[in-house]
Parts: sequence; structure tokens; C-alpha cells
Amino acid sequence: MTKHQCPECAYTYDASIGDEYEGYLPGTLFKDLPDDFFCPDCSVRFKIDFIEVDSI
Amino acid sequence: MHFIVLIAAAWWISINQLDWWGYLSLSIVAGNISGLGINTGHELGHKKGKFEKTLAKLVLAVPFYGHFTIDHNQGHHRDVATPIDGSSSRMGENFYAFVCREIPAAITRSFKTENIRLQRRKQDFLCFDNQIFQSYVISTILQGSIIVMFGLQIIPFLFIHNIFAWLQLSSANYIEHYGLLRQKDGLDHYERCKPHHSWNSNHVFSNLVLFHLQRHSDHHTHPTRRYQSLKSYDDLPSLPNGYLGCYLVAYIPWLWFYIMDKKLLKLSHINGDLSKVNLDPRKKMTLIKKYQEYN
Ligand SMILES: [Zn+2]
Repeated sequence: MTKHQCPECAYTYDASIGDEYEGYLPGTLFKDLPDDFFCPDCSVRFKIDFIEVDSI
Repeated sequence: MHFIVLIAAAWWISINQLDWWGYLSLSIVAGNISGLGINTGHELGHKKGKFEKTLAKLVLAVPFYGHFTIDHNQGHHRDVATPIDGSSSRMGENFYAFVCREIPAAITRSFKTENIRLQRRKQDFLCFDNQIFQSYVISTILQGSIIVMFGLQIIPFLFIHNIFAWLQLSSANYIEHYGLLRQKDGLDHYERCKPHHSWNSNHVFSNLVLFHLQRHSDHHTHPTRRYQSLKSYDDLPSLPNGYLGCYLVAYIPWLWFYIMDKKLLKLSHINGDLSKVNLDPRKKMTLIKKYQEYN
């Protein structure tokens, strides 16, 4: 499972956890998030801006 | 704290036989205090913690503006300084036209945003997890109990209070991005919001009252940064006065256009090029005719 981080505010999307509040179930891969996904915390960085931080 | 102000004002009205003038003034003053509350709600709503988000819902509930956090964080910050943003004013658009466009746009965009989230969670739009309704419920309880406590005569007070709180927010939104436009860097993708996409002001009084909200460029470049650390850059779009002074100018459309249109076109990244300005489509031809000499 991979983790992707917002370069602006450090919000991290961890595919193994998903994001309950946003409605992404655990196991939802980052690449499967909607194309218009934007950072849920700062809203000023988009899917293409996210950086993969580490994989297990 | 804002709850107390509202209830105290309502109580004052109920025990004193105010003439219409006193009633109106008190309603407006209370509305403006709640308008400052929206500003507090703005700060809290940007925080990541659940506790702060709850406080934001509470304080925004006072003037019945609970959709603000969602619309602002996930709508305005994403779309700022583009024609699709209801909360970015366009060149040639007067304050009153802006208000009529902004307030409904904020409500629809926030409902849409929240609906998409709830759909992903396989929940109905009308459910307890709806962040907007949570705040509206608090508003209904608060303003409903004020009506129960002080009688129907208090309804106009609440109405005027809410409107003036909203107007204060709209005033801020009107001056913060007037005419500024992000360029498209892809087919349908706008460039990132940069410091020159916000108007700034650094007057002491506004600094104190508004928690440095008026250092607006930095706020939009780094929305989650704490307000105290918002930096003031040099050579940015700068407003001619503090926020409150600018509000007053904004209420007189011809004066606002007279001062700001020139200032806008003089900005170094625009330099008279109207294609780099967020133009009001209805005023487009007039503005192009008027400012031809800049090109
Ligand atoms: Zn972010």
C-alpha cells in the first residue's frame, strides 16, 4: 500500500487507511481516487501534485 | 461569546421600547459583530482539528452561515480568482451585483460539495453527518429559541442581523480578489494561486480586528498556515486603504471603479492587458472600449 502526501500542507493519503470522512474506503488506491481529487485539507493542491512518500 | 451578544441584543430590544431607528441600528450593530464572528469561524474552519471545526460550526451558526466552511475551504480556495468562483469579484462588477451573485453561489456550491462527499460515503444528503445541516440545526435552535423567548417582534431583528453579518463577509470577499485572474496552464486547469491573485492591506487596525486576514496573498498560497505567521510580501496587489476604508469605497460603485480599475490594470502582471483580468461578462465590451489605450 502506498502513501501520497500533499506538498503544501502535508496531508497524507494512506491507501491502507483510506479517508473515512471523505468517503474513501480502506484499500482504495491513490490512483483510483477521482481525477478531480484535491487535497481535503488545503484544497490548493490537486491529484497530480501529490508526492508518493513511501511504500510498504 | 457571539451567542451572548446576539441574545443580549435581542433581550435589549424586548425590554426597551425602541423606535424603528434604534431597532434598526441595534440590529445592524449586532449583525456586524456576528460578521466578525464569521471571520473567527473562517480561521477555525481552516484548522485541521475536529474541535476547531466544531467551534467553527457553532460560531457560524449565529448568523445562519453554516455552509461557509465547506464553500470557502473546498470551493473558494480551489477556484479563487477564476470566473467560476462565486466569491471572487470581477472587474466592472459593482458590490451589489456581486452580493446577489455570491450569496446564492456559496450556498449551491457548498451543498454540491457536501453532497458529493456524502454520496461517496453512501449517505443521504439529509443526514446527521451533513456538516452544513449540523450548523443550520444549531442556527435554528438558537434563533428559534430567541423568537420563543422574545416574541415575534424579534424576527425583523434576526433577519437584519443575519443580512448584515453576511454583507460584511461579502464586503471582504469583494475587495480581496477584485478583477484578478489566474491563467489557464492546461486545457481546463488553472495555474496555482499565486500571491498576485489577492489584494492585500497591511493597516494596523484591520490587522488587529481581522487576524491578518487582509494579508491575503499568503493566506491563499498557504491556507493552512496559522494566521499569526502570515507574511506580508512587498510589491503585491495592495489595496489603497485598510479593509474598512475599502468597504466604504466599495459601497459607492463609481468611486470603487474609479480607484481600483486603474490600480488593477497597473499591476505588473497585468500591465493593461484585459485578457489577464477577471472581467464581468456584461461589462466586457464597455471596459475594453474604455481601456483600449492601455494596450
Ligand atoms: Zn494540502
